[in-house]
Amino acid sequence: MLFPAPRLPDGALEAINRRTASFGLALTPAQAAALQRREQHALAQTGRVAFGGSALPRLAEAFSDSPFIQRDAWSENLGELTQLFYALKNETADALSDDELAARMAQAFNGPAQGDLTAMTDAFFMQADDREASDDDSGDWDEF
Amino acid sequence: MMIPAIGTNSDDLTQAQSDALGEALLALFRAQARAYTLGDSDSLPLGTANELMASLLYTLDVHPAQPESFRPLIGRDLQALYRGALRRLEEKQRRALALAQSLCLSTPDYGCIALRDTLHSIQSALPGYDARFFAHRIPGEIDYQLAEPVPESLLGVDYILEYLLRLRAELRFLSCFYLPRVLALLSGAQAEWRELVSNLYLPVAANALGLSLLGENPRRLHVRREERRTLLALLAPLHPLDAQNQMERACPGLLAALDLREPRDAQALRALCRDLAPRAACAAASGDLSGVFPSFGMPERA
Repeated sequence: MLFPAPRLPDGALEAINRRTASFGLALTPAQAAALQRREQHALAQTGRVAFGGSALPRLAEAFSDSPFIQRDAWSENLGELTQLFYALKNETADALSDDELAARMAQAFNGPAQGDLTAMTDAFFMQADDREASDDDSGDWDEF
Repeated sequence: MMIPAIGTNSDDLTQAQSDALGEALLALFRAQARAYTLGDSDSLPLGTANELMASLLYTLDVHPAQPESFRPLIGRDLQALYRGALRRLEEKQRRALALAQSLCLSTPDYGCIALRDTLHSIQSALPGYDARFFAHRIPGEIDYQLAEPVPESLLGVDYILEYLLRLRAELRFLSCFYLPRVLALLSGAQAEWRELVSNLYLPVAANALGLSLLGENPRRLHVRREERRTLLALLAPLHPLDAQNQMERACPGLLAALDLREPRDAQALRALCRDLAPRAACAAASGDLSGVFPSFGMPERA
């Protein structure tokens, strides 16, 4: 059974760039195309299927205001964050909505990880532990 | 998703039709996935996605291995088709549950663990049958084997409904006989029958048929040694197909003697003949039919 690759709809790249322009961040069409290929690779690697579109707009919105994002590394950062996004969807057993996951990834990135993508996973779960310890009302995401 | 293009005949699905149908099915799948994730996610694990698609295809009664099964979907409103098909599955679920409950209440305690556990499992699982997202999954654990198994091509509630209908026919046949005689025969056929998953209908129907072949009262169930010798003389010279024909000719008389009139009663008995004839022929060749037409076993001591 073959499911089609997620793709940015027409106008989506321009919309992303409009939202991130105030932070000095922009993607070229070539970078967007490379990111979509990378997203398809991330989906295959994590054993997932995208049925509702690309995660890139959501991640761009969540991370564009981060003080740790460098303009010249924006495309590369988004690629790594996309990979991490789908890996965390699996590791949290889909218990978090896409919006919630992106938001918490950004919190971890800007907080405990201090902009270090290699430290993101640990920071993400450390943050979850802190949240649980402080009795944060997180719905049914109790384990994380 | 790939919809296979069919052959080269003018009535077959063209590539354009195949592509359009594929897009329509994907749109339906996307709606299902969105509903499954409550709109919270744009992706799913591949295994879950495949399950949702399998459920969708089963509900629409299309089979990837049978391209012609897609033809009825061409040019149709798949959402409307799906809604109608889902209602039909839910109706089958209700029928199956009513049938399972009826069988649980009406089936005597034969002491067969597999039969008891299977009925209770189906009855417990059916209310939770998820026709919306996992329609293809078969509700319940089935340990008890039918004399004529349900085809594995059937899925979901269709499988369970067919299983229960065949089981009902078998149990209806068993109910024609005095229970202690049935239990005595089962003990004679296999000492540990209570603990095993062996089918109860087979030995009872075999002996009833054997007695019918001899012109004896089938309700007696017990086949005496000398009667087995007569059956041996009758069946040993016959080719298995001729033996099967002889058995099938005895079926209407047996059904009339037991006052069984449902089409499934006859269907079950014909299936028995197909199973019994080669076994009887093989046993007859060795000169011993005691495993095919057993005598009563010893009663269990208190």
